[in-house]
Amino acid sequence: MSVVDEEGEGGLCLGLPRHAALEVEETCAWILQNNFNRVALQVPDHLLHEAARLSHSLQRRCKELGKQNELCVFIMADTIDGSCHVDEITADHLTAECVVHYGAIYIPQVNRLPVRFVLEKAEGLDVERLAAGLASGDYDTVGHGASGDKEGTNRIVVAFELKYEHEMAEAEAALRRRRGGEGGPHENEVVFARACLKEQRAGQEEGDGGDGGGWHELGGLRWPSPSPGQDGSCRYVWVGENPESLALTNAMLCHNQSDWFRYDPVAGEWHAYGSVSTASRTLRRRYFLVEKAKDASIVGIVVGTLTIAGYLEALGALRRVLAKAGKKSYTFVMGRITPEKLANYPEVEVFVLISCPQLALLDSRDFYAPVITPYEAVLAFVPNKEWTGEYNIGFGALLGLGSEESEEENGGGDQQQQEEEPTFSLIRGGYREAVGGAGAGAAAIGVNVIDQTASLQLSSVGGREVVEVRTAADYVSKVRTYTGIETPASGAEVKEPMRATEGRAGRAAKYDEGGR
Amino acid sequence: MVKFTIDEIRGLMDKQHNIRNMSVIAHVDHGKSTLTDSLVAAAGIIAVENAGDQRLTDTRQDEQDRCITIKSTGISLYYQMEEEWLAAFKGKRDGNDFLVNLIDSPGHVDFSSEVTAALRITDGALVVVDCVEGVCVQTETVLRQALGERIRPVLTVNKMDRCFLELMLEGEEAYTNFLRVIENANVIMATYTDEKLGEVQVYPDQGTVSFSAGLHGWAFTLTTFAQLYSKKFGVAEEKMMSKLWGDNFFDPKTKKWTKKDTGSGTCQRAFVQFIYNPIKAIIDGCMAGKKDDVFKKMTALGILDLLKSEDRELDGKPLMKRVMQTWLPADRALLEMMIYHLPSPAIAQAYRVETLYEGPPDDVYGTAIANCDPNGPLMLYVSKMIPSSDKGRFFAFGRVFAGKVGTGQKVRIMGPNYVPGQKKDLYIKAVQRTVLCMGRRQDAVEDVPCGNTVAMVGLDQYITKNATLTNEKCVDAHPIKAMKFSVSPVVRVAVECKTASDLPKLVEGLKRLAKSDPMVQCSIEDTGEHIIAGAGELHLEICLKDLQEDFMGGAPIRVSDPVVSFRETVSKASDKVVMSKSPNKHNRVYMTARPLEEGLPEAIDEGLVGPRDEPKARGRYLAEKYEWDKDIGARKIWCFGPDTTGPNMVIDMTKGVQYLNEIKDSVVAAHQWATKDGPLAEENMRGIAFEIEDVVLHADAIHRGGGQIIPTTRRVMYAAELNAGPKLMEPVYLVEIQCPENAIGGVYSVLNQKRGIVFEEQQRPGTPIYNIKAYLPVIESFGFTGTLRAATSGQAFPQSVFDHWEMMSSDPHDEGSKSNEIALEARKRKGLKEILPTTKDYEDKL
Repeated sequence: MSVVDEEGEGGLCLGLPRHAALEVEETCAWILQNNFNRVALQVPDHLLHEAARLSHSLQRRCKELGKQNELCVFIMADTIDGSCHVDEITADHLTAECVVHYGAIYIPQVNRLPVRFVLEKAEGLDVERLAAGLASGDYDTVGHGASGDKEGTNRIVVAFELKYEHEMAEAEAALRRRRGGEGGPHENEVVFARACLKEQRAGQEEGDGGDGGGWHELGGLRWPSPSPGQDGSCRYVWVGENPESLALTNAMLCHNQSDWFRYDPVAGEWHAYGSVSTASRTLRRRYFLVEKAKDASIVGIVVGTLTIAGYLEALGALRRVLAKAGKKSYTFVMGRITPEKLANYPEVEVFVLISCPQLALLDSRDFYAPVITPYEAVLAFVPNKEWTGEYNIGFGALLGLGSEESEEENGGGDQQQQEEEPTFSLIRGGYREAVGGAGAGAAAIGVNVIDQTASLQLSSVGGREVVEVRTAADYVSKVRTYTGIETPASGAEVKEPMRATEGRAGRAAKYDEGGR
Repeated sequence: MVKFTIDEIRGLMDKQHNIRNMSVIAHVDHGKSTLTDSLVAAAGIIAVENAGDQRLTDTRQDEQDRCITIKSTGISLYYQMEEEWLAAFKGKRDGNDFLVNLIDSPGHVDFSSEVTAALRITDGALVVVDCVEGVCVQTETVLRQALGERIRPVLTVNKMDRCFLELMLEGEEAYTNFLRVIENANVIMATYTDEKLGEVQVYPDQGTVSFSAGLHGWAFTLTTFAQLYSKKFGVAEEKMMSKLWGDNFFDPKTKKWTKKDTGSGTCQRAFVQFIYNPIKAIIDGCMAGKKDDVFKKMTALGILDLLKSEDRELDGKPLMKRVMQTWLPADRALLEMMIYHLPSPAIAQAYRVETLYEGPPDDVYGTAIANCDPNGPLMLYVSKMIPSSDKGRFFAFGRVFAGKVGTGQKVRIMGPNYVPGQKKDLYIKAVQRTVLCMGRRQDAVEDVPCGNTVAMVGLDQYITKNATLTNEKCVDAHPIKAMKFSVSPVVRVAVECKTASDLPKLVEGLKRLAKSDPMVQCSIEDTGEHIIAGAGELHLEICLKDLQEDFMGGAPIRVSDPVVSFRETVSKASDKVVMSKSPNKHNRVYMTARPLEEGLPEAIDEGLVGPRDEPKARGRYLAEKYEWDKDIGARKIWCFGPDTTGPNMVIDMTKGVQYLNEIKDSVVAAHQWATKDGPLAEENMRGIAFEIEDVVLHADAIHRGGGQIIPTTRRVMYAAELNAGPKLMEPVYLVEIQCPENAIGGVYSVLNQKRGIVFEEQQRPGTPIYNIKAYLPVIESFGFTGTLRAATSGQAFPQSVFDHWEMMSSDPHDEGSKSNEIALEARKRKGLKEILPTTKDYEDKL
């Protein structure tokens, strides 16, 4: 957004591109229609400098359109959740009646307040060129022979970065013009994805399309979903210049059986990715994390959102799953997730992040313990779930478990039997014990439980690797060498006071060695 | 025409003194399986006519096709001996029936782990040596392992037929040849001799060496001939034995024994005169078609009647084979060695218990093992898993050391990670069935008492590779010690399935593969790649074939080129102290890195130095061996890594730092993390000592938590490594190549081209064969065998085994250098930025 508006005083001039870009007109109409009086504007950092002018022009325009009451506008900056969440908490504090959210990179479903999303609008998409490419099937020439073996693929879904959303209608029209010009039906059906509801009310159901469940939703985009099992016959075109954008990665992961192509609007080029199911590093890495999670006995649930619809239910479901799998879970609430914060809990072996799907996919190379998504948690902790190459983001998998569970419980007799069998861990190259919970398992197999003092002694002799830790308390008392100065409860001895010794003097880079 | 029933065998199992558990070990292609056939034939499982051709213990199709043994195979054999034959046997026995539990093992180095697994459950070993090729590298390896396990060896000099038919050696030449082979073997045995095991060297005149021709199914010991001649000369058998070997000469003209060759034409060494020449005469006679001569000689020996009439019609080689088999049946000689000179379980377990049992040798379990007590608590070691005909299921194969194991019995399974007193890696399950291994088939038995090998059904879901089994109630039993392998899995390939939905199949397949082989490691990398690691190319090839065909039901997989893992190390001490700040800028860690002293990383690998040492002893050891300050060695080593036992350490060199104890755990955690994924190529580190020079910590505990310290320490370790002359280390094979003189040029040129370094070249005395030993980087070894064969027109045959890690001299930061290339390639494979980081990327400025 490099455009500096030439504007009149006190507001954006009507009719200027900037004005249109921020959808002042539409926003005012929405406010009037719903008769909101207190409006919170959530503005990302790079638009903050325009926030004041924006609020003025909103107020002025509303008045012009005949709003009786004075419109009260708040500007929310530096919101805790990062720019993509709707900061409903702050808005709530302001007793705002609605939120207008600017510059969203995806559209979440919200929980409490009505929200209107104003997407960023990027220039520079050559609509004609995109349409030409789609019509002629040019992208296939970049694909390394991928087209040949996909006989009968006749459906192309065009997905895009949300900032190109405003151009898509035109692109569709342009494509239709071309097709019409050529005459005759084309063998490829081209489907354009649409942005999800940009104006949401709390608890509103997404029934708008009228097609019932025939819509597939992902990261703020939705398109008619292909008939079940036909995903592989679908091809996807992504419009966006960033090959590493989160939205693209997510979309590719979720539709990993299909061929992907990317149109780079800035360079005007086509790229082919082929089917990522076998080639994608990301997918394989995620699989590794799932495997690793299976080995964990202490799991941290990190709640990174307090706004997205269904997060509480997801949390509840996850806790149940973990308890059933015999894992100890701890729940954390964090606004922004950083490696430092999570590393403060070295006893936690894996974190499950409940957050908006777009941010859930953290590459955890920098994290001390892996961070996985709820879907991956389901794969890891629900018995008999296997990685089939399918991938999902969001809480869907967790929420869907509720019904399955009750069914299982009914006929769970032989289930128990099966669970006792150990599973194979590729990480350790051996078996991991059946996760029947520590205490129960021991009783079941008739092991004499060694008394507490003995196991404590053992830990102080044996060292870290022999001790098995099931809870955080275990970790503190058995694994950690530092147990505080005097904590007889944990077995630390009362230490004799030591004489203070003089340290070295000077900087570590160059000590004054003569100083002693 | 099976000569015995399972019931008879079962009856014999209780007679401990009549049991021999033994393995057949040797260098590749020295004739183990072929020789084993003779024994099997004698027990009546296969026809004597086929002995030597069938290789019954090569149960797999690919073993038969390739003519090499891949898996060790067990077989229980039953022999009825005549009273007369046993007369000289001084040891304890109970009747005349003997049970031999025999395990045939592979000879190729790549499958050494199979040998290890076989040795663990046997008490004696039949070492087979090719009389022409002599003692080879693998002979030495397996002998060393055997003696380490306190396995008593007997030797057979095999392929005698080559002496007669191929090389046409004269008696004296042949004798010196045999003498050399036996001496070479004795030198090795002397090197690895074990006090408790006692004298293990082998001597023909004591009956612990036999001479055999596995292919033709005949063999003899000096006893065979001593018996014959003692009657003729009227000398005591024992005396005759000693005359038949060594410098004893006989002149039939003067009928005098001398200690030296008198030089008269008729004076000959006794061995030549009485043994070698008569055999030679018969063989030559058969080959030359002088049947009458041969039959006359046989009549003189009184064996003509034993030769079947239809056999008398044969000619040439088949006739020779039959004649020799009749005269000197291989099973007689071999059985004599086994029964007379190998220990029964009752004897062997008394001295093996120390090397077997992890717990105190005088507790109830240790005592039961030592006494081989069938009424004691069950102690059973499962040394390997054998695929059963039921696809995907396995027999757990092992040895009962004490007590009894029976069908339906509940056993306590202690896995390799079991720690006494904990519940980890511990299961209680019922044995569905106990069976006996009979080569290609298995027979069910009710129960198996101690001293025997056994295969069990129904435990395979609970055992990965090996385990110790005890009675359900024996909660205080310690497990039996884990096996030590002589090879390590250094060659790795990544496998992936062609379709994503086959992934569960792949995982299941890897699980089964991991079970089926004692050595192979199946794992998943950080990158999500599935890795199979094996000892060598051949090993991997077999594993991959098994995986795809047997364990994955033929689902298509893609296999990457072999990947070699490297190690990151440092070549000098850091020239300055490096520092990193914590994310909140309130804590600073100052560190240097230096290489560990030469030999110390290996000492850590072998467990001579480690985290569980008594600190003072460790201090003393380090002070004596590596001139460390005693106090540092004893008290200042914070940890080893990676995996808490690896060959890198953190040493605290600070003085008077406040709160230092508090961050120790974080530093240790960071060290495990950093040493696992080094900065150069995310490979393990090796041989680096990180010295903490100073630490500045925030006064509030909340600001110096793990979250601040762990990433910071990891960063500073990276900076310190990069500051101390970082280098890559590559794994290096020891290759032994045998070739004739004219092929040496080709061998050298191939080795040069592959960065190999020759350090020994020796001619085998008496042969035109040369033995070349060289170091060869593993990364260059792929296709080495093929190239070498091509360059020497198939005359050179290499055997390689992992030897050590070698620092690569080139600087990884030097663009275009070998190390640089390797590091960048590894980074690319792992999806990392293809730029090598430098100290600056991890160091902070004050």
